[in-house]
Amino acid sequence: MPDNRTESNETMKVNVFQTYQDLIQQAQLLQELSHDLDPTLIDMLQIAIAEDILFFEMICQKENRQELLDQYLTGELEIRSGTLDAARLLVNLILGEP
Amino acid sequence: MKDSRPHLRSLIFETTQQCNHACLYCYNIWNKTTQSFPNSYPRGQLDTPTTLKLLNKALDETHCRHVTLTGGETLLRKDLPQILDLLNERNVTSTIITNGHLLDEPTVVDSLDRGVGLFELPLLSHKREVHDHLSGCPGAFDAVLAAIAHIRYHHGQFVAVFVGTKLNLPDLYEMIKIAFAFGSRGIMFNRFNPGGRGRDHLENLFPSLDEVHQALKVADAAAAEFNIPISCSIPIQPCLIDTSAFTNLSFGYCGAGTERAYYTLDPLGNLRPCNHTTTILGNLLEESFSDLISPERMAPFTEAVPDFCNPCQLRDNCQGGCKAAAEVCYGSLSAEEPFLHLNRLKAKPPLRAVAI
Repeated sequence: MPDNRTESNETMKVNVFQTYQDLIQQAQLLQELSHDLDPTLIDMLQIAIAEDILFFEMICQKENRQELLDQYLTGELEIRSGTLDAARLLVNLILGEP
Repeated sequence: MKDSRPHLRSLIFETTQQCNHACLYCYNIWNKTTQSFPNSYPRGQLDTPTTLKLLNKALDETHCRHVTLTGGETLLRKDLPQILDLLNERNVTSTIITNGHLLDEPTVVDSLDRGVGLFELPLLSHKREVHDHLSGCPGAFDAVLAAIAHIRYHHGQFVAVFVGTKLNLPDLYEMIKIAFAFGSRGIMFNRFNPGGRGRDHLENLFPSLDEVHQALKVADAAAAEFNIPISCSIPIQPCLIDTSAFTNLSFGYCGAGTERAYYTLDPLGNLRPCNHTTTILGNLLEESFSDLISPERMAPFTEAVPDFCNPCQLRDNCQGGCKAAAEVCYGSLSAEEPFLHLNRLKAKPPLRAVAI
């Protein structure tokens, strides 16, 4: 549903930002779809979601929030140091699975 | 001295007429193939220096902060990096419309580095065979999913485009689900709007009014479920479907001639009122942008409305739907476009009866 994070672009609307809730819902759907889709793609998507969630966690805790946000938006923030297993673990934790 | 340059929300540049897919629904006007509508649209493309000169001229002569690059298949254009660099240097944001087949990981990274803010890719079904069939290309489904996964992995943004035909409308909900799971920032839900090659597949692809209506209900519910914007940019006439009932969807009417217009430059520099029409306003290398879009030049396009719509109080907004589709299918901008023509007996009052 369009809201205040929505921006019109040409003839369409886009969500410029994804919310924490969006990411959780995406992770849950991916889990549901994982049997039908290429596991390599699922892995990539899970990593991306995990990084975005990690980013949310970081800006919720850190005092230098604006600096982090700027670094993230310019691509300077290196979150991708975690392994695939770590990303999976994070997604599974979010989903409440072992 | 007053700056009289026109303000454009967006400009579309058709980078190339070549394509590696053969989508059944394709509206590219140079693909008209039927005997009754022989293809006479100019073919070819400018060399790199002249293309850059053309784009610089377009940006010099307008206030335009966003350019959408399309085709054909945009990524078949070898000098695309130079085009993107030009836009980036001029502080113009860019969108790439692509079928995704050539959008491998290095190309995604390179495009993002060159300032591409958004990708638009087709996702026509959750079923491989349906997507591939409509794309006219085996492997299209796997390729587009890989492309959007790469975009997501590198934290780029994309929207998934669903062209609603008789063959895939039942797949809409599952498609939205996959698009959302893959991180789509929005959905474009476009009812099939015949033109180009699509004109040849009208009977097989054109959905009924009830099928479109049902799909809108599905899209409306999905927009709420997934909290994702869904835009229906191909006009839907309110006399045929009460679009106000779908509060989670956004609808658009023809914006030609207004600030909402998406003027379209073809690879030879010909300017058109939109990407669906065959009407050429003139060539930007030969005339100024302002002259090309002057009210006098645009009048045959902007003033064309079907007689059927004259009594309607929404005539000036709705304009009868997509006049470019009327032009391509029935040879006149003021003809009733197919969605109206085929459903006109179901048009509801009071919208068409108030002024009678």
